[in-house]
Amino acid sequence: MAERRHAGRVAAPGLARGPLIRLPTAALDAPDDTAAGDPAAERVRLQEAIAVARADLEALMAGSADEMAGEILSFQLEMLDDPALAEAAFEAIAEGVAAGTAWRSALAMQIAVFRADGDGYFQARAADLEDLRDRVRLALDGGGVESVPLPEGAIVFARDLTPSRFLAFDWTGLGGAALAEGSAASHVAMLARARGVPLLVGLGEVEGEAGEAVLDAFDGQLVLEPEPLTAAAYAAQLEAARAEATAAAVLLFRPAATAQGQPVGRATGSGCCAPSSSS
Amino acid sequence: MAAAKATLTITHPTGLHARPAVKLTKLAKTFPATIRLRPLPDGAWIDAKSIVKVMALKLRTGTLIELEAEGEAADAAIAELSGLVTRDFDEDG
Repeated sequence: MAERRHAGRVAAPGLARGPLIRLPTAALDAPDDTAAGDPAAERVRLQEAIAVARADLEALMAGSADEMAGEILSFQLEMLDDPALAEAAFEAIAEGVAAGTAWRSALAMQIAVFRADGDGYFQARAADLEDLRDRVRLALDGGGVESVPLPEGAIVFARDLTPSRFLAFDWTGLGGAALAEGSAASHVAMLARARGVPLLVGLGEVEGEAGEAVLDAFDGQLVLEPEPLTAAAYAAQLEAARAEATAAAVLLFRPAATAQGQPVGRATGSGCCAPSSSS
Repeated sequence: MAAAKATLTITHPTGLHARPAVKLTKLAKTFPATIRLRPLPDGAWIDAKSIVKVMALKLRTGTLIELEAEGEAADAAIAELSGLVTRDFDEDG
């Protein structure tokens, strides 16, 4: 297939080249189980799924040292621990509704309350609740957190990423992420910027399977199966960026010196207060 | 049973958003007393230990709220929770 370009919005700048890996969304796109079992059994299913989601979030929390991730995850954990979150779902289950349907509609009501708000802070909470909704739904389907094998340098493609899903990946070995939907103002965008993970959002649907791709999160382009010339140009750009990063790292750790090699003293707090020589 | 009350204004610039709400409910849960909260003048009482219910109030900065505790250590609960709210949840802004 020939080279294809998809334009998106830059949510976190950067450049990466690697295989495009599509995250499966089948579990989330599947219709809810409508055949409800015995209410007591459905109740246990939901309780267990919430417990699995809770354990996943705690594990993520243990592995995320930064403040922003901690804040998002502790809020989600506090929500999940609150019996009021699933109260309506358990009531529906008692009336014979299946666990998945009950959970989804209980959360939908609460998501709508925040989604409709004019205040950005409260609107952003809708995304946290959607994150919880999906995590528990995946656990209900027995999947828990999806584990997709991701090769070194992979560019992750998904319809959207929730904060907890983003935090579940070890981005140090990955190229970046490309999202069909998503927003540059989301928590995921903030997390990506804080961690230096190139992120493009709003790309729309992208055809094709796990081919070679370039994620140009400077220019807002995802290039699939780049032509040799395009690939070479990007390879040179990546090489230059890498050399620059290495040079910066070398400079950081080399003692300061003048062009003639004279060492330069470090600027310290004492400089300002040295006794004046004019007296 | 001892009951304690306090009327407070939310002065945190972004209102009672996620992080302050987590601090409030976590602190409330450390007390055995029943603790309720409502927006004044005529909001409905909600459980101050429930993050879901506290967040659903979407309390903006400048909102007047009433806190009420009943039961064991009710006075201490109101004193500590009032302190947290008036200190802007120990945040810079």
